[in-house]
Amino acid sequence: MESVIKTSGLTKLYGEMAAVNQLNLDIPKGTIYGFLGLNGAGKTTTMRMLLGMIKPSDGSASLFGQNVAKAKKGLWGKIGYMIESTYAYPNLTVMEYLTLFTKYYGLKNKQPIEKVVDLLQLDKYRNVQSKHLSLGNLQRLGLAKALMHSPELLILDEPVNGLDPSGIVEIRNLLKELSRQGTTILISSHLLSEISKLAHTIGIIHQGNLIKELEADLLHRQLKRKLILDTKDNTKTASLLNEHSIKTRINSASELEITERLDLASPDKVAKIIVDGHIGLTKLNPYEEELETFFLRTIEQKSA
Amino acid sequence: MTLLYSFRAELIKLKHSPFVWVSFIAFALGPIMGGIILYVLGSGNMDPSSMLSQKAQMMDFKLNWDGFFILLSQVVGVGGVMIFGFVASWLFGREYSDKTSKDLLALPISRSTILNAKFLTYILWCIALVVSNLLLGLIIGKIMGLTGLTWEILIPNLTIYIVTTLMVVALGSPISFFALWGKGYMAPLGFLVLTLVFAQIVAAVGYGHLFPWALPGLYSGTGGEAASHITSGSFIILILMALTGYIACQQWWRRADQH
Repeated sequence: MESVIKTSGLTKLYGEMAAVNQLNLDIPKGTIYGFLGLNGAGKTTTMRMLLGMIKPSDGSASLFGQNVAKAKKGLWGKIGYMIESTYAYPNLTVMEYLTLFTKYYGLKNKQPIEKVVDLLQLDKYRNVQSKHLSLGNLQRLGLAKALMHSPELLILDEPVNGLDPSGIVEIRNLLKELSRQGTTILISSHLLSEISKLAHTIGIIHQGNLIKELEADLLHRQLKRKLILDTKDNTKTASLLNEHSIKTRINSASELEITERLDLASPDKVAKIIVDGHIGLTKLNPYEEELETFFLRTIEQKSA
Repeated sequence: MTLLYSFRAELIKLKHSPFVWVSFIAFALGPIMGGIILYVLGSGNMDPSSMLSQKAQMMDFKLNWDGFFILLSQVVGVGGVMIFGFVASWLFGREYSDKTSKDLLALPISRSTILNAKFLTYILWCIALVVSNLLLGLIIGKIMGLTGLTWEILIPNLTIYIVTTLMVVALGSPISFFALWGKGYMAPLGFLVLTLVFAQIVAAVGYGHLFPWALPGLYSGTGGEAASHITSGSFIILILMALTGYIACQQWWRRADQH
């Protein structure tokens, strides 16, 4: 499939420190790529390099097959972006702000503005100066600006910051719909739970390095699962289960944990063994690692 | 065409901005003060030892259109350096203060065009300021009862007024560079204050004709006889300074990392 974003050994050094280190990305058309990392991981620096705002110390980035360093200005007409939080000219109203960008994008009429105002539910704020907008509505305005010229590629840095839960769902659905229509989206966040609901592919970046890339569909397979159980006699239970080739270990709360994938698939079988062994079962709790825990564990493993 | 679009975008950015009106009001204080001087000198009640009186004597201030036009040119030559400097600082520095600069960096319009549109806005804004002051000055002069406005008086004085304006406008480009480089208002305003202080010192020691920021003031007559030291070399220094500022702006905006 055609690559929309491609980086090769992309690196940005600030003195000795590598803000981005040897980053290789290949994002095909129509994909939503979630860029996940803690604050200062290198997400924004990467996006700024992709947009030609800062120059790489090494490596290269290309968009639609054009090297960003030598890109013709027409390339930027295919791209909509929102870097960090939205800051609009404080004295301008929503409509004036969007009209301003129709000039830069060479849009001849007001139709694109009407479309995005409607899409992002900014209608009642048309004549409100941006300095009076809430953070959430400013984010909507930034998204409206990014979408106004119907770009083929969207680069969005933490776009749901400041949005309320319904706003987050609304933006997520909007981005999914744009992706279905063929728009390629690179979106950054530090929330795996949010990214996992939206992205097709997730790249985890830490200290400038891309430490893991995984398909969102397969994410749940990567999460740690266990069966936590507590009985009236855990020692007897452990040996009983061991006789049935089910391995257990005792956790910090003196409960038993089963982590073998095959055994996890049949908690009913475990319960039956214990009940048939006449040991009082007081707790049987299937546990799945939270996404954020997985994210932090992945980072910690790499750091170690 | 893209310059026109970009220029229209700059005009939109000026909407509802109080600084636009503040600049006109601040600049209008020049002719208003001139009117007050005219009134005080005309009334004949001034203490000859007062600063205003001494300054008027040094400038050989005359109670006629000729004298009033000289005063208007001096307002541009001295006050213009400050007000135009504020305008340049604001136009170029606000993109960083308002944190909107990042939205101008990846557009289907080149960065040079965006910068040129800003310079065009700056030039037209300055022209609007001097035209408004000229019209205000004519009204004040008329109210003060100045007579004898002939083409012989108007043409040479208008020439000085226009040349002084062009000199001051040209000095906006280095200030614009400091706004871009310093990412806001502080660096250009600091630079502006520094140049104004230096202009006073350099002019006082007799080298004002070699210092770009002292030249408009000298040319408009604030230094009395010192205006005669101005040569074509002085103009070349000023033009080189303006070009250096412009090229530095373009190169920095196109090539430097924009965080």
